[in-house]
Amino acid sequence: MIVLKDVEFSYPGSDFRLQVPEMIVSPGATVALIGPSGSGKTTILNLIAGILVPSSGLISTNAVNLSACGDSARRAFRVQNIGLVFQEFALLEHLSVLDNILLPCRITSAIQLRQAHRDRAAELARDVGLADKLRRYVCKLSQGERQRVAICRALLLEPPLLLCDEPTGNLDPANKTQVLKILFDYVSCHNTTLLTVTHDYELLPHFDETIDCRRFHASSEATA
Amino acid sequence: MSDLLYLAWRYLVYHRVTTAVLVCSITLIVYLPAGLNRLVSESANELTARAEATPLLLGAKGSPLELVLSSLYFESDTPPSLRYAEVNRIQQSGLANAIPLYTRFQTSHSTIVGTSLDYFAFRGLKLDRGRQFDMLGECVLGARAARLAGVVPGDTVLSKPDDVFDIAGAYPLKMHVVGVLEPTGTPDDRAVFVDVNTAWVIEGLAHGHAEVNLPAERQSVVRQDGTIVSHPAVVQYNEITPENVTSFHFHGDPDSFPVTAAIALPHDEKSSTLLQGRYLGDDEVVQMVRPATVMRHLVRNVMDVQRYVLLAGILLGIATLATMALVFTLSIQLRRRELETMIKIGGTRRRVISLIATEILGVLVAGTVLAGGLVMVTSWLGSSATRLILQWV
Repeated sequence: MIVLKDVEFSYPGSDFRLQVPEMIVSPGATVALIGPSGSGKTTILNLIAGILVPSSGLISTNAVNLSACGDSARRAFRVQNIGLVFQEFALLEHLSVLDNILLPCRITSAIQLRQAHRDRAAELARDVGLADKLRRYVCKLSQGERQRVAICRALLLEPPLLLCDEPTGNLDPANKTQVLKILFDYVSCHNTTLLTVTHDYELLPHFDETIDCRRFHASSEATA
Repeated sequence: MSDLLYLAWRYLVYHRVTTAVLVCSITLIVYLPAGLNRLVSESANELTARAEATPLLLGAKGSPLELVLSSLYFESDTPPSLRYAEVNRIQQSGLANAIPLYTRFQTSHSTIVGTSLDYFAFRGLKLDRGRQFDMLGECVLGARAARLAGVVPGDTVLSKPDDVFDIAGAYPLKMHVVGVLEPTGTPDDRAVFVDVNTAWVIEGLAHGHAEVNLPAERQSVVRQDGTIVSHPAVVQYNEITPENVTSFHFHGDPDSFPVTAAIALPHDEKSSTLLQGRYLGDDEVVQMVRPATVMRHLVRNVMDVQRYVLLAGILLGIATLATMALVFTLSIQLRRRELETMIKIGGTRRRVISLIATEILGVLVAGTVLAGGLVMVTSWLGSSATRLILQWV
């Protein structure tokens, strides 16, 4: 379960101000975060992931009070419990598909890269149709393939919580459908909680719940 | 650590052109001062070693450096000659033994060194094949000279004429190769050694021709103003063989024959000092020099030049390092999103900085190792490089 209570956050030197009186996400739920640009959708994801720290309030993820944790504890929690997918994929161009998927193991000193991870990466790549492109540089892939690599990277350590920031924002309709299917298949199989930022209102019926971030009183002018 | 090394390696391989340029820059920064230092040091050693082994050198007045380079290293232009009587003068002084050197002539590839057999004992030169020269027209080649000319004992080499348009000048002499020396790694490897008398034959001070006194050759003798001279049609030999060697003869006083230098081997330090003192007079037409002193002076000059080159190298290095720092900074700026991703998916800031440091270190290490290899190659090629420098000098 994810709980945000009386959370306040602002960026230094900015008039942006986020206030979340209460937000609760049940375990295994699929939630869409909607709202205009600048309404704080990505900020909420970063707060839940422990990347950002609120100036006040409580953020609890799977019964862990992240707002009370130190930097290293939040990072350790994120590595073990949260998978992140970004809108622009955020892949490393100089690495192959396999190395990009394995990146969380290589860049985190807390996790030792093992053969099981390699096997898992190969299995994920096979599941998303990239089995024959494991050794290929990601810059040689199409947009849809890149996003599938990014999803594989997020799922490598089998996190119970998946946070996606506009995962279909840069994709054509065919790839959008395929990526959504991959995400929802995984979520339903593993009872994973899914929070997704989206501007695409056509996708909303796929989610259990929709949260409009405009109500979190972002003080900056929201630009659609 | 191995993961960081792997990620850094993948980054450098992917950006291989940039990496290669950076590695080359580092290599140059490190190699220029280190390699130059090694090269100068090797050159100085090579230059001074041979000079240190030569106690005194007599030559015509002029540039001592030119005299030493010509007589010890068989480089530079031929210095002015001195009379052979000066060689006898050393010998007759009772203070030193003298070894004549006449280095005016060349073959296609090498300098012809007219000398005596004492030279081989003095330099510790040993025969690899064949025997020593013991007749006019015979020569012994240094190892490299033989390789360059592609000859072995039994073959012949030709001296180069002074000037092909001067029909009264020195004619080429076909010399018989009777021996090849063991390689020594010194300028002796590149020389063609002949007896000083053979050098004088090349000079035209001695010659051999068909017998003009035989009845059959009477028409070869003409009478001019009461003097009997041989006719120009008389055959002149350009090769000395056992059959015609007796017809070779010198014209003039051997004391007046030229040499370009003489190595003086004093019996002791006192004899050395006394001998040098005898050549200090203003009316002397020759000079006695200590090759070691001359070469040390040259090396000092080279070191002075090296300092300027080093300074330029350091300034260039600083400029290159500053440029590289800029390149790395810009690269980090461009990779900001990538680095943020690493931190978001669990990398600590320290680990990400370590990754970048590993990449930079990889470039530095590769450049330094490459420069080290080049310095080793420079050391290995030190002798050849020295010879090149001597040619330029």
